[in-house]
Amino acid sequence: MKDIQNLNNLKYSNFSRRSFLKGAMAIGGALALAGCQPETVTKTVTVTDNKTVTVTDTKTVTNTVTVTETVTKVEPAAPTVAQYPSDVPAYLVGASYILPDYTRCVGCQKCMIACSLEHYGIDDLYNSNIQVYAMNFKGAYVDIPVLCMKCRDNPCVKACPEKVGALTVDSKSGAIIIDHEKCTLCGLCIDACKEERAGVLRLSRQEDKVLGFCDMCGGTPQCVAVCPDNVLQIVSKGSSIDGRNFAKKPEVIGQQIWNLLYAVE
Amino acid sequence: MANGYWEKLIEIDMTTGKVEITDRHMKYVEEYLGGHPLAAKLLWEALKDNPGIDPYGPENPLMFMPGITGGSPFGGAASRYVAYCKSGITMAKKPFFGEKSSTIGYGTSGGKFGARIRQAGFDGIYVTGISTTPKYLYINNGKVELLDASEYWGMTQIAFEKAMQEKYGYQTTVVSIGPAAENGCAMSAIVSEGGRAAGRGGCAPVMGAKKLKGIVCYGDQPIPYKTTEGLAELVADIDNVQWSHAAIGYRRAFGSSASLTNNSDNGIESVRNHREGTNPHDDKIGTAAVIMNYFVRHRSCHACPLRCMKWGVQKTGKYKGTMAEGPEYESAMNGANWLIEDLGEFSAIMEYIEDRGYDLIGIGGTVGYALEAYENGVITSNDINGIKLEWGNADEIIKFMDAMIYDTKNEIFEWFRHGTTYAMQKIDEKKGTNSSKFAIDVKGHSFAAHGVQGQPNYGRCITYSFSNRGACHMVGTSIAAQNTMYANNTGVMCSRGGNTPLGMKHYARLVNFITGRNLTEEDLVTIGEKAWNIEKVFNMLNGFRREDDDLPRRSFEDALTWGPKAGAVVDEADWEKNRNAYYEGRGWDPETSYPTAGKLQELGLDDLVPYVNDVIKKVAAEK
Repeated sequence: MKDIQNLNNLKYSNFSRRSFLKGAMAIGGALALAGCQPETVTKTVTVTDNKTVTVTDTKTVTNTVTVTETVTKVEPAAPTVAQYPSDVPAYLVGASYILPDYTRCVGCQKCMIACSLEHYGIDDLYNSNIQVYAMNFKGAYVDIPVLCMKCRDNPCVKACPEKVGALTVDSKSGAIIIDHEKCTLCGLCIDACKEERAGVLRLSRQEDKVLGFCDMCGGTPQCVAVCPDNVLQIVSKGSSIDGRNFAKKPEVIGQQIWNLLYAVE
Repeated sequence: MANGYWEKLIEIDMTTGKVEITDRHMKYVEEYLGGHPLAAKLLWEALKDNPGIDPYGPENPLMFMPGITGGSPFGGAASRYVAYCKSGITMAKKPFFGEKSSTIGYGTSGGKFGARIRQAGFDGIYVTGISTTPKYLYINNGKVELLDASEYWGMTQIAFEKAMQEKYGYQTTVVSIGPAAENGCAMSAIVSEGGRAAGRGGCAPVMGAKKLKGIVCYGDQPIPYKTTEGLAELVADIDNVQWSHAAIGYRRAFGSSASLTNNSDNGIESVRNHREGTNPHDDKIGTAAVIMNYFVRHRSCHACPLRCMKWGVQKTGKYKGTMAEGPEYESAMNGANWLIEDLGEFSAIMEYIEDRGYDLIGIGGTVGYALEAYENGVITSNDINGIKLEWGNADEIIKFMDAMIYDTKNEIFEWFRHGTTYAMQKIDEKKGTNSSKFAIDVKGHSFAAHGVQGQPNYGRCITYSFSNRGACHMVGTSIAAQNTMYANNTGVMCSRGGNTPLGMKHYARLVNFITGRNLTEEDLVTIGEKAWNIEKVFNMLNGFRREDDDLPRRSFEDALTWGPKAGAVVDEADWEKNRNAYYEGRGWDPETSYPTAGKLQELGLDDLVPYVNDVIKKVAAEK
């Protein structure tokens, strides 16, 4: 329940997608809010039944916040699973991973800026979940965006020791959610990603967190929204091939894209 | 801290190999903010009492300064840096210090390097001294090392970048010089990402003289904003402003190559060594031709939505497999200016220039001179190792450029290495010829790819004549535009992605957000004007005077013979009136071009007045 208590920190008075998502991050897993017309910063939280949470200001205001099924499923354990808000546009529901069109990336790194601004409120490129590599091969440059492809066989989740269990897969989005409190920083997921896939996982600068899991911003990926060239496409889970096919090292992708663009017979 | 500056300047003494982190710049940032004006002040403070130093000597400080907005997430403002030093190329007509006399020199470049220095935790780099062995600088998030570059000396830039990326990872950004600058070619460039070049101003040969092969930089930290509250909103807002600007689609589609056909059609392209203004082969190497036959990839500088960098590859013909960043518009200096008529040849030339690290504008002027001198018999193929230097002959031109880098025996190539005007003077002196008309320079610095004869007004004449680094197409076509440009250069803003869509209004917002200060647009323009005056006085100390602020004779004498502007030429008498109006508008003496004491005092530059008075005395004594 302690995570729910953190709802105190949500600033409902300035409710927007962006601020909501930040608040949701603060409670370690996104709650789904719908039809919320918030008014006041709240003081206390009570769970009235499995479906609703009543947030009560000590003075006057009451807001009713709907919690979706997944949260109720993981009750009473601490909720650590991300979900989509129920007002997500239809085309995003079931989104699985973000596939870059490598031939068209211009290397502006606006996606890195957007990712970092979304999650940390500052353009800290190191922390960005998407990383763009400007790579020089034989005389010409290619720019390769690399991010978590949410491989369906989840080598990172498998690598996480059973008794730790810090990694879970969101049933709707396929996003891998890390519980930083459970994580022991053993690094096995980082090694698994590095050895088997693209190697997007890494320790934070302070070495107190594992970074690199794409949470799809809870349903509205900011990198996709900001890309000036529509390079990033959201691939829906049901109709697409497994993202692991693209979970390759940037230099491998870079060499192939270089050949595609610049090689001459 | 956290008022926008790291308060850390990397200072390197190449002579001793000592690397220090200082705050030398901090006492000037309140007055000069950052970027180009701050570099101008630092150079002035370093050299004001010893302005006659050899630019290729150890005393010349070479600076790499990103702007105050460098490393920020604002497109057009984030990515650029200025390289700044006493120029290695410019020349005065009556110098005080002989061949050592030169103007200030600077070149700006986009890419990612300007952002990376700041993201690595530094406000700039300040290099003095001269090393006996080649070195390169490695910067990684607050750590700095000066390392041995012997094995990389002589490498082309693209090969050096590849080696460094393989060594330090694919997210490092590299700026470096190529064989041209290493071997003392004054028209050379400091290049990043294969095609982003700080080429003008003669900074790269100074870097070469210091034996600094390159700077390898990795940085991923946010810059020290005064506050981050509202950062995301400001980023979104600036993005909106850029996307709302009318020219964004135009810039995204063509990059600067749009001007190839546009300027050719208007009779203001550089054609046949600035003899003409319309490219007769524009259908083969103009905008539409390169869009449809050459470009394969767009690229952007850090945080910019314009993606105006275009990479192309030649897929067929004799030159297939050659690839280059460009043609940019200024590449016309190596295309139309040499009467190149085939895209494959153009591609080969561009690739060669980028690889060897030439300043494409400077080499455009120098080879343009050589082509015309050869045509007129001033130089013969015997003088230049049997090379048949004919208009539009790409293979022979490449041979000639190669000899300019590598031939140490033939004295004519030694002269050419010093630039057009220097070579012209030496050749005329030796042969008794007069080829001065073919040297299209101001202060020894080549015209860019914009002709002046076909210009409808004197805007381009003003940028070329009065720029403090010699002929320059970037500094603004009026006094107000020049001061604004220098004000924007406190952030080393891009003219396309930054200045044009954002303007001073939004630029002031960015500066105030980052620093927490409360500067108005007027405050910023004043900073620009102060920097301009400081540079002018520095040039005066080296002997530059009114007669140096003039255009080459061709501008007045050779009317265009073809194209829509046929017959156009600059009216010399009328231009003279415009010159006087310019000096008066600047608050300078129209007779001598020197800033008046009143103007300097008005700008708060009282300490410059005695220096100006000394020059006036010195000039009077000459007579």
